[in-house]
Amino acid sequence: MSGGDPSLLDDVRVLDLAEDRGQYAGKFLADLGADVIKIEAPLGSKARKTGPFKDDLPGLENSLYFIYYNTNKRGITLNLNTTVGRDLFKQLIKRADVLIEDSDAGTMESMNLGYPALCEINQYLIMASITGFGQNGPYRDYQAPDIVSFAAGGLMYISGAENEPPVVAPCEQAYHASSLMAAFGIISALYLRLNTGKGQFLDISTHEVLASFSQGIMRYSVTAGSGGRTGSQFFAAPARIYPCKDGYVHLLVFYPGHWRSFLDMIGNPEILSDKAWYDATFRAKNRDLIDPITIEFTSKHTRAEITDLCQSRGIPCTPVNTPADICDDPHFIARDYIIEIEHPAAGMHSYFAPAPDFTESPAVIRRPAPLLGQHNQEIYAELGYCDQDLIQFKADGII
Amino acid sequence: MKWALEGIRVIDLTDSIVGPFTTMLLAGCGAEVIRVESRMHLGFRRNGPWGPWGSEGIPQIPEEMIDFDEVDINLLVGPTYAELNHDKLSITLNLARSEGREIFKRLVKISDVVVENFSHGVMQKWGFDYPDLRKIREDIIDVTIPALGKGPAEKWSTWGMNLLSYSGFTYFWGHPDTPVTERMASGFHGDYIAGTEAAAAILAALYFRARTGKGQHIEISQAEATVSVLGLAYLDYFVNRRISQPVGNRHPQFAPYNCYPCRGDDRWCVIAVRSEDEWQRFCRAIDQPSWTGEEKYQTMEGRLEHIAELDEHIAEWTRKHSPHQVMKILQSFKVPAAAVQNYEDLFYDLQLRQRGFILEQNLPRLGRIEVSGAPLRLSSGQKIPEHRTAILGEHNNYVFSHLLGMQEEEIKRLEKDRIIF
Repeated sequence: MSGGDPSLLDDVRVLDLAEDRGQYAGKFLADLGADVIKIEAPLGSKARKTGPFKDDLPGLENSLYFIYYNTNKRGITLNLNTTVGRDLFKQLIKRADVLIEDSDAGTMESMNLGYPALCEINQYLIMASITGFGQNGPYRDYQAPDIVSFAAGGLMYISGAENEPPVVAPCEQAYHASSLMAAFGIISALYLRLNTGKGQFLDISTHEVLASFSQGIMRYSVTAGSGGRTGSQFFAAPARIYPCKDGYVHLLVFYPGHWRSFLDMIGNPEILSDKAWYDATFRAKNRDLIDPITIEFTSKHTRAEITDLCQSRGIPCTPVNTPADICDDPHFIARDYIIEIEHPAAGMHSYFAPAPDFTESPAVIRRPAPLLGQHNQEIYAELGYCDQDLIQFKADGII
Repeated sequence: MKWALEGIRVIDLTDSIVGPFTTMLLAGCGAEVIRVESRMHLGFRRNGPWGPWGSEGIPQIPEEMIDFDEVDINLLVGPTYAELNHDKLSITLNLARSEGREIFKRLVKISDVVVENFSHGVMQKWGFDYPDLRKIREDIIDVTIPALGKGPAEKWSTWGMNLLSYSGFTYFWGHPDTPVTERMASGFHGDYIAGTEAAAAILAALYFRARTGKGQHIEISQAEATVSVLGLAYLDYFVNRRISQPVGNRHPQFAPYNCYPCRGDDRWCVIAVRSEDEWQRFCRAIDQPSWTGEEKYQTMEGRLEHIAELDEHIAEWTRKHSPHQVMKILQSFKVPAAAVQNYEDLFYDLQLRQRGFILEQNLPRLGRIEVSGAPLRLSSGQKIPEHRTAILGEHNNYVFSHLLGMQEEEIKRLEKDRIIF
């Protein structure tokens, strides 16, 4: 699948120990061309036991969760709970540029694999530790699965409908956020290393990443308000999700220009002719009047019709899509963002191309997610081990 | 070399959240980020819904009603602007005028990266398409972060919330019985995700340029970046032809795993028990009321099967405590739990405070405010923030006179002609 072009990070080797919140970091770097080696315990990563599964059949090679996050990576098995395993790991570290790990703070140190120990082996190493709450502070040892980070980081409180309990975002967004921030930090450190020749340690606290995304500190600082949930409602009108003939549209009429165009689109009803309606805040206070008029209009048209009518007038509006809708979306189709790849167990299936488009060094999908231990032979051979050694390692529960 | 991006100059034409967040990350690594702004187009951030005249609840002033000569630039540093644009430089340059565009080209010549988040067509109209910029500076890294990107819908006008709906987020983001119209579509999650991806992509292009001497054009479609973090739901559709439905806070494999009511008005906590060990510790932490001993709760399967009544029992306990009490009690038994923190909780968050996450700034109108600090920690190469947000055009002299070598009379004339304006 790869062209002949050089890729962005093709001289970078990454060891990836991530089990949950850090998985997408390695995936992002792999998409940019880095050689990312996923290291799993001999019985397989926790991710392989996480659904959804192909045809709903659990199995180590059937996890779509594992497949999504590990496409473009190579994979080996290694038991870090054994002395020989840790020794092999250190040999791998010697040849690596980056290590990504997302265990609880202190876990790597407890195995003598903390940054100071690894730095002694390889001073060029960039080690990124992605934790729930960071490497220090009173919450350092707090357990932090995705929902805990989403709640503590301030995003959950503002997520959901007004009269319902807060609701976590789909597909582990706390994990994605901290993974992407780690990827940014890692490439910054690689860039710095070009000049300094030194590696470094990155401390990524999922808590801090989400706190940034929430804007909560700034907002409290200015308003002393606690925030709240508004579902799809923005503070204007019409500015929410509306039902239409064949589904839903998300319409945002905010600026005076939007309002002028909106009136034109729905036929300038007399009741909305007063100039006061040009003020978004005034409209927001009178949603009870505007929303029924809006729904009367939207429910007569299809998603595509309303979107076209609005967009041709410069009014922000999109359909509310499901994955099936996106697969039929002319814009998505034209951009070739959804591609076909083949996985030995999942077969031919659709997958996303890497989101950033680069003209000089394209990011491409080069290989499917590794089967358990698929690249043991080629990677341990680099360290000088032959098939005979691998048989022994296997017998000893090391790989 | 103190900072990772020391000596890298970034021209920042961005507005709203996604672009300013991207360049904020670059500034945090020591890049010299120059925001190119104009009184003639104050944009979303200087004068949008969160701008000084339009902070929530106050009507915004349409740009056609503004007397540009009378604009008090000190008022144009709103809190959201300050959250995302501290430690950057600001110049005023009116790109609607050809003379302004000529000066912009001179700036491109001495810069490394140009970043914008316009819809496709704006840069092209100005003669700043990638091939044009490349003629000015061969190895320029030209970055666009449009809503949808080049293609049939390239001219669409969307806000960040629209993209949550467009990408599928909204469809999945709710409780099982939340009507589609009430699902979550009012936040900026997509902006932040796309902004972080964009910053990482820019760094990768700089890394590539350092090794090969080659610049390039990068397009990060916000819609695609947003869809890419929903990969699981999409793969379930691609492979199993299933459209996932909103599941709320429960987990298909673990129980108890949910959001529970706490003492107080609209106060909540989350608890996530993922193993038998955690279940045992959870029972001890809440003092083992008799129901915890019931046979049906002793396995994950049993708890999942009887989840509704189990959640009721737990809610009885959580209602007696504040969200932070629940977090403290359970976490001290190593059971995953958290307060569902609101803005006030975040502001006083012990962990954030003790790690020095929070930044203080002094704004001309609002005085002292506090904002989010750097969302990651590098052990070297990160710039210590100066906690300052530039007022509009604060660095005109540095850029036009010092960097571009323009004479004082020329600058005065350009100011009068509303070019440097």
